[in-house]
Amino acid sequence: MAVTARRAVAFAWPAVLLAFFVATFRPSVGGATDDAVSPGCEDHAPPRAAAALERCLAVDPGDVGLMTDLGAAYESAGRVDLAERTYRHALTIDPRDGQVHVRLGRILLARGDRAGARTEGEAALRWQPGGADARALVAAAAAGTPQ
Amino acid sequence: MALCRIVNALLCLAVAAFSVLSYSPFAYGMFIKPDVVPALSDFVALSPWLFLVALLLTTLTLMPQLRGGAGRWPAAAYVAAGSAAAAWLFVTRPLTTLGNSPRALALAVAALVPPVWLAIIDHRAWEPIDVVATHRPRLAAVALTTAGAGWLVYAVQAPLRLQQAVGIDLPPRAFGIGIGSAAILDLFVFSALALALLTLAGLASAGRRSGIAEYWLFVGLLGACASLTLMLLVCQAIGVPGRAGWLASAAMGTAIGVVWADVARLRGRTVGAAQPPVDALEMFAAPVAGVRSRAGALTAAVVVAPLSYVLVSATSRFDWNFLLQKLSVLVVWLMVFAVSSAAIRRVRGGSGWIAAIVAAFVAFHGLRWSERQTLHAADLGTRVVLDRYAALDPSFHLIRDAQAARSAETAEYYAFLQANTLVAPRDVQTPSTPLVDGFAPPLPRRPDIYLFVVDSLRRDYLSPYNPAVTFTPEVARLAADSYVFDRAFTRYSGTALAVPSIWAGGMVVHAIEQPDFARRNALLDLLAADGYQQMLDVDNVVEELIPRDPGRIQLDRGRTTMQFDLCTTVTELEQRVTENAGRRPLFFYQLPQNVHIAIASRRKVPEGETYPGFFAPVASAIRRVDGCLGGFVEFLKRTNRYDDSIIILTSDHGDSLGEEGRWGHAYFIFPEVMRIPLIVHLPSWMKASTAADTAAVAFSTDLTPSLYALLGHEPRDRGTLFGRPLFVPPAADLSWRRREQFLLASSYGAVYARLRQNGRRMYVVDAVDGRDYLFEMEGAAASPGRQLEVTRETATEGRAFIRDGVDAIAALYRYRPSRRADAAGQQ
Repeated sequence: MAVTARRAVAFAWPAVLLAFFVATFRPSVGGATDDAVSPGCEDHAPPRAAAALERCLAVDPGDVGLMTDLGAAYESAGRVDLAERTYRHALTIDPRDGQVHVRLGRILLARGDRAGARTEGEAALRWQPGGADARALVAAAAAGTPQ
Repeated sequence: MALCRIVNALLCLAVAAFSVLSYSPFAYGMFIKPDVVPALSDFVALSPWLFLVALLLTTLTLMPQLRGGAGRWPAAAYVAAGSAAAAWLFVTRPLTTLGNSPRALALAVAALVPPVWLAIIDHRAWEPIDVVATHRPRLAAVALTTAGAGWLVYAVQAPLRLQQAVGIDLPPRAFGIGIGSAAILDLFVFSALALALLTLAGLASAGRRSGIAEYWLFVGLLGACASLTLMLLVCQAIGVPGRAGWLASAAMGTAIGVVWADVARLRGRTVGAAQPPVDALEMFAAPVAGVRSRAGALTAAVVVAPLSYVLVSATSRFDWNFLLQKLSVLVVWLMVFAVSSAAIRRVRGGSGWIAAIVAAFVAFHGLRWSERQTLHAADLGTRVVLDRYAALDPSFHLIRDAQAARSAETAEYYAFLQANTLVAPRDVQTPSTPLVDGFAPPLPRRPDIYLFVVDSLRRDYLSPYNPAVTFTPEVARLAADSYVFDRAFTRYSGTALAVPSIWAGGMVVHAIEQPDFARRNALLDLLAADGYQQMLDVDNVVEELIPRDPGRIQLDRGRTTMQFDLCTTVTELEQRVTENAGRRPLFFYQLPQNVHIAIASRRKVPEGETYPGFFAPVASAIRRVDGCLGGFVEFLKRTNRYDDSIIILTSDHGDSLGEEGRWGHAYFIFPEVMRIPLIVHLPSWMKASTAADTAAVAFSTDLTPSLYALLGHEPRDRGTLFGRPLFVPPAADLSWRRREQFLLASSYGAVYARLRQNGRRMYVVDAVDGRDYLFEMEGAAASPGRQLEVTRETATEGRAFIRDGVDAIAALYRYRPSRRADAAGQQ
């Protein structure tokens, strides 16, 4: 009886420990890691209001698309200085975004900075060859007419 | 005799492995049919001869039995059946005619019969060996010593691999974390092995002949581990899931266990009756270390470290997502275990080994806790550090990949992806997806079209994308007069689906054979509608996509796909173009293989050429392609065709050239594989009326819609699964591409990605390896992309988007994956 019990113990303890090893080998959650959920910035339809866009940008400060939307929201709200700052920041991240160059150029032109507007229009044309908006901006800058 | 059994078993396992590869639709379609690995074809050609030689050698070793010893009849039957099989092999050449069929699976199982049969003969013929139970502390000591020695074998190689690797930024402290973590993981895994061996020893002690029972339980454990490894590591990676995968894995795992026991029995014969009995562990280790053979153990000990290095180095460049490297680790571990068993004969009692096992458990969980704490570190979190170190240490890589966790939700998601991947053509109904409702009359002036899809060409190996490149002056010249799309991607990471997606102008069903592709072949429709004369290389992918057409001019006749060389083709092309002068407009297509790693690696880099910072064989191949392409462009200019030609230079996908230890393009999705060059030259008269955003995300699936638009057939918008024109009227909106998100996929496995932020962010879910990745890809060419931590939100949104996209493709093809999902979910 004692021999049988000893054998049972000899078998059981490594088996129990092995079960612990196997059960804890993999972490308990999936491939993605825990993180605070941000306010729906990656939804298929991103927010349009400036405040919501600002919150989203705080989560992902490198999203040029959000920045462009935010700049447009500022423009709609008449906050042109903020819009300009946002576009300039977007261009530091992606200097090849023709649309942002055009938007920034229009702000500059409206302020009377024809040279700046022309520079932006030409930069846009470099990445968007043939683009009507960029060509119109360059033409307007040359003629001095606001768009 | 043992050596003969090993050789025979290796041959049979090789035949079985080849047959399983043939059984896998994608492995057959991608490796065997196009002859990507010539060694495989050589093996097939030689296999009857190899079998004959193995049979003759085996017959010699069976002479004692054939002369009337024990096991005479099984031996005689083996020789008779073997002779018949050899004759059959010579007459029918089954490996040559095997193809992708259920017969391949049957042959895989049948090929394993000879070694099992021989094992039975040997066990009947030779006297049994007296085996006693192993002293428990010795079991634990051997396993723990294996942990240390196994770790050391790979850890000492890691600094060397760090010097050789591309794109692994691992400062000394991070390297130290990696190497320390590897020690902890090794200790944990081999502590578990120690516990498994102790459990089996405890189980065996219940019977009378505990020694021999223990030995057979160890052999059984080896067979079970081999079966599981083959199923989870190999069959999943080559697309043989489900029952077929389990059958093949169980058969091969069993054969490995049986052959191991056979060799152990033969090597253990040297123990005389007068000598003390061997213990179960020593008997188990006999195939490597012999029994009481210091020379055998010493030889194995000396060989194991260099062997481990050579195995990894030899396989890394043509490996399939580290598969061969991981298998080599398992072989090396087995050898180290056997050597440790031979080295540690006696162990004193005591509880030191129990303390070591407990310490391993604590250290392992401490490491995991530390990994979690640094998840949100600004730069190098522990997870990223460990991922990078894994590229230097294949044993660590193996354990780390095995750790990939799956919640129930994730498992269900993976099952969903797997059910929609590599689907059977018979289960889908290919829709008709014309890009236009009706073709407009052909333009009076139609340019010739030259479409060069250079297999595996990377964008950062071309000077328009990377100023450090000095070896592509002709491409630079062409690019100066062309549209260079800076953020171009392929939708698929492998040729099998990337090429159909180009012709269809959109994503296709995830099947290696595209059923009824004519219904989706938008490019062919366009060529027919506009009366183009086709001049093509008919590679192994395109031949399945386009019907035979006597009016088509097929170039490179007599060459196989892997022999398509851009330089020889353009010579023939120039001649054909000259002959066609004044007739119909031309459409040329080729998938040249010059840059494919299987071809480029075999080509010797000419003396005097150096490519610092680049993989020289590929860079040299590109230099040659550049010269030939430049020559062809010169020909077009010389013959006044250049300004009447659309010239497109792109690739079906990129390639990994050592980034973090990766090579080639397996089923994985990484930036260097998904980013492609895309350079489009238009006639000047076309340029005047079009606009393009060259810095916006673009895809090779946009090419066909772009040709439609350029030729005056404005394609309809079919959503983001389809391509859209890269060239639009000047007043059209150019910004939409930057805002959209796109689905990407592997061609060979359940790996999908979501690309967003104008191609800057790529989230990847890998249902084969059970991992999620997030990459940031800047426009700068020097680095294809860097890995970021995956947040829960990214994963949730990414997975939802991918599910929608995969569902949309299934709906398009009326594919119902429910049955396959159930099967995958049960695995």
